[in-house]
Amino acid sequence: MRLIELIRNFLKNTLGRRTWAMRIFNRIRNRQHPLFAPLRILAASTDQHSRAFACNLMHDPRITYKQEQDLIGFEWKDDSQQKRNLLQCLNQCKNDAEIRDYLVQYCRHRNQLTADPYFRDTSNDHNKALELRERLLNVFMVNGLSTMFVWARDVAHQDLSQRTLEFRDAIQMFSTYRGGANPQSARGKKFVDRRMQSSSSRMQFIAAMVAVYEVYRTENPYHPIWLTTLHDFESYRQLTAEDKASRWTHLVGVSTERKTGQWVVLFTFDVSCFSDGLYRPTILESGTGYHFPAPEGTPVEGGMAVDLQMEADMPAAEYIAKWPSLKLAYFDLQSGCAKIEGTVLESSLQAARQHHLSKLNQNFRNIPTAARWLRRVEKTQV
Amino acid sequence: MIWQVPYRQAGFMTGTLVFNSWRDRIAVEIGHTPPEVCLQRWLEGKSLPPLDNYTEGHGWLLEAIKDLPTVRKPLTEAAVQLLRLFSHGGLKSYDLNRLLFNLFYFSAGLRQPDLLWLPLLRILEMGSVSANDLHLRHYRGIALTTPFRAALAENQGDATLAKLWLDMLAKLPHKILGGMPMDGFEGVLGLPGPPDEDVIGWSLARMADDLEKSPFRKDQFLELIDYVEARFPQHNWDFIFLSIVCEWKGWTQELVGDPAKVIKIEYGSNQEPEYVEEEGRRKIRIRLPESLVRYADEIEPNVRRIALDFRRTQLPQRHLLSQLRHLFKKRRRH
Repeated sequence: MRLIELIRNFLKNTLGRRTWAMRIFNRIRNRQHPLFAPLRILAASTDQHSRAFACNLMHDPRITYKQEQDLIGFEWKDDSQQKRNLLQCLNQCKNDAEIRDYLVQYCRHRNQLTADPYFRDTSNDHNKALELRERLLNVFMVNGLSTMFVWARDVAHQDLSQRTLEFRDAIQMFSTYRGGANPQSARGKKFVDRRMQSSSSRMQFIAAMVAVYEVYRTENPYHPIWLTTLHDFESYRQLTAEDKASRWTHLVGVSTERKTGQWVVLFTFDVSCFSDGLYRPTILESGTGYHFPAPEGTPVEGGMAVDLQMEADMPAAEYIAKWPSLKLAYFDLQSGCAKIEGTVLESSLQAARQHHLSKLNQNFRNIPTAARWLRRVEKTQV
Repeated sequence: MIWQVPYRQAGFMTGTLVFNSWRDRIAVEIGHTPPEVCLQRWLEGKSLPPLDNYTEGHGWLLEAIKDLPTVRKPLTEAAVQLLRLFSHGGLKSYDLNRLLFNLFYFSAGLRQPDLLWLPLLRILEMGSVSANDLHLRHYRGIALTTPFRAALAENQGDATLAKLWLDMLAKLPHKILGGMPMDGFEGVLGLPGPPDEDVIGWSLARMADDLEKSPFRKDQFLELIDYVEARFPQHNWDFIFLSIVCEWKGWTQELVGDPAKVIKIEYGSNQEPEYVEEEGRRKIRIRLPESLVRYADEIEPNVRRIALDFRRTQLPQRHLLSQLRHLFKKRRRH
C-alpha cells in the first residue's frame, strides 16, 4: 500500500506537473516548440490579460503555419539600427508582462505601424471575407487622434505648397491645439468638446479631421480599420441614453475605462470601399485579450467581437481592412456622434470572455468541429 | 480545470477595473525596483494597461498620478534622473524615440518646475549632440523638439526663455527648439509669476496675425483668450483694453468687444472734458470741447486708451479728467 502511494506521489510530482504538449495556434505542439515556454508562463499568469492573450494564441485556429513561422522568425531594427530577434527577446523575459510586450511588438510592427499589414499577405486569403454585401460601420474614437492633432499643429507651419487646398485649410483647425499627445488630458478633451458640441462646428471639425487624417494615416500608419456590420449595430444606433457612446464601444469590444469625456463618431461605409479586401481578424492583428477567436469551422466570414456589457444576443461581427478614404464614409451628425459619459459599466475581461464563450456555445455547438474547439477552449482559463 | 467566473448581474459593475489594478501595481513596483527603471519601461510602452492602442505611457502615468498623489514625487525624481542621463548622452533604450517622446510629455504633464526646470534647461543650454538631433528624431510623425518645447514651457522656473518664446511669436524659430507662434504663446503662458499684461497682450496680437488666414480664426482666437483666462483665473482681464494697447487686428474687436461701444466720445459746447458713467464703469461717455472735433482722428485713440485704462482702476474720476486735460494741453502746444 505504501509502495503504491510512493509510486503515485513520485509520478504526480515528476510527470504530473509537466506538460508535454500544448496547442499553439490550435495545433498540437511539444516542448521543443519555441513558443511553448513563453506561452506556458503567460497561461499560468495571475494577470487576466496575460491569460486571455495566451488562450487566444493557443486556440486561434486561423493562423497559418507560414504566419507562425513569420512570428517565430520575426526581427526588427531598434533605434540604433540593431537587429532584434523576437525569440531571443522572449527567452530573456523574466515575467508574463515582458512576454506579452514582445508579442505585442510583433502585432505593432506587422499589422499596426505599417502601410502594408501582414494580414493582406496571400497566405491569409483564407481569412478574407468574400461574400459580404452589407454596409459596414467603424466606431471611431476622435480623441484617439490626439497625436495626429499635435502632428497637424506642427505641419500647419511647414511648407504646404505641395498639399491640397482642402488639406491646407483643414490643417489650420489644429494650429492652436494645446492638448499634447495625451487623449486623457483636460485640454485635449476641451479642444474636441468645443468643436463637437454644436452641429455646425461638429460638421466643420469632422470635415477637417477627415481631411488631415487622409494624409496622416498614410504617412504615419498606426493601426488598420476595425469594422462591424451596420446590421449588427442598427438597434444601438438610435439609443438616446446618456451612455450610448459607451454601449457602442463596448459592443465592439473596446473598453471605455478612463475614456470619460472622449468623443465617438460612427462612420458607415459601403462594402465597395474595401476593394483591397476585408479580413477576419486574428490574435496577431489585435494583440489583446479583448479579441476572442471565432471557433474553428464556424460558417461565418468575420470575427465576433466580445461584448463588454454582455447583453447582445449575438456578438457583433468584426472585420479588419486597410483604411479606406474617410471621405467615402457616411456619418450622422446627430445620432452618429456621442460623448462617453458617466461611470464605466463594463464587465471584467474574464467575465466578458466567459460570457462570449457561452454565447458561442449556444450558437455553434451543433457544428461538430466548432463544438470540439469550444470544449477545448473551455478547458483553458479564458 | 474549467475556471469559472461569476457573471455580472444586470446593472452592476462587477469587473475589476483594469486601470485601477495597473495603477496600484505601479505603486508597488516603484517600491521594489528603482523608479527610473520602471519609469523607462512604462515610457517605452511596456507593461501598460491594455485598454487601447492610442494612449501612450505618459498619458497612463499622468492618470495614475491623479488618483495616487503619493507616486508623483518618486516618478518626478525618476524623470529627473532620465533627463540627466539624456543630457550626458547616457540614456540607452531600444526605442529611444518613443521613450523621449513620452519622457518630455510626461515632464510637461507633471508641471514640477522646482525639480524639472534645471535638468530640462541643461539639455537645451548644453546644446549636446543629443539635443541637437532632436529635430531629426521622430515618433509617429512628430519631431521630438515638439514634446521638448512643451516640457520646457510647462516647467519654467524663471524667465530665462522669455526672449526665446517672444522670438517664436515673431516667427523667429530657435536654432535647436524650432517653434512657431503657438509654441511661443504657450511658453509665454508658462512663464512663472503673475501675468505680464503687456507681454500677453502682445502675444495675443502676434497670434491674431498668425491666424489671419485661418478659416477658423474667430473660434481659435476665442480659445486663446480662454487659455489666458484659465492660466490666470485670479487676474482681472480687460481684453478690450489690451486690444487697443497692443493693436490687435480689427477682426478680434468683434470677439472681445468694440471699444467704440464701451467708450463713447461726444463733442459739445463745454470748454473742459466731461465724464459720464453708465452701468458702473462698464460704459463711459466722454464729452470733449467742440473745438477738438477736427483733431478727432488723432486724439480719439488716445482718449479711448486713457479711458479704458481708467475703466480698469478704482481711481476717482478726477484722475481721468486730469489725464485728459494733460493730453489736450499737449495738443494745444502743438
